[in-house]
Amino acid sequence: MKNITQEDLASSLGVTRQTILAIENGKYNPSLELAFKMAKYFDTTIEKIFNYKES
Amino acid sequence: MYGIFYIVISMKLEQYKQIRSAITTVIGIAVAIAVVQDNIFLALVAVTIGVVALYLSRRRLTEIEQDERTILIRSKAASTTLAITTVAMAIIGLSLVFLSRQWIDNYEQIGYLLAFQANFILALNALLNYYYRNKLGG
Repeated sequence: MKNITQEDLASSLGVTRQTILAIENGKYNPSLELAFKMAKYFDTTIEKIFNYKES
Repeated sequence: MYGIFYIVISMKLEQYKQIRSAITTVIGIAVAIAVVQDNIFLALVAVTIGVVALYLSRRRLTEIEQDERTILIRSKAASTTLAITTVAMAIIGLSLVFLSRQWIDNYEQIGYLLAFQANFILALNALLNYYYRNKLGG
């Protein structure tokens, strides 16, 4: 994994730092587009970053 | 040289929020003065200058202010506001119409106005729903 700050990640993905924080805390589910962007940024797949829990 | 210029014209989100609050406050004060002095020209000038100042300051913003999460937050807040205000307007409006016929005088017109406003807002909302439903794939 890359050693980066939330601000760096947010800036690279074109979102606010609060959005990254909300995703990390499980308070916000990102759109498919943002999930793909994150996967591409970390050079991995969506399934390795997120896991689906039925609510 | 470019560095100094960039610092002058660029703006962080926190700084932008402070400037936005200051501009909004000044517009509010100017409009209040215009209402007291019965001067519509002053109100129009203040609002126009304020809108231009807000637009220019936003262009200087270098940080991301809006993303999918903030849009979702605004959308949820707007739909909740719509639901609360229309229901409240309809209830208060109809109450004023019926109460003014029995006990309270002179409020019937305000009651009709509120009830019609609630209907107008709901109709506009239905139209915009229809428009965006078609625009975003039916």
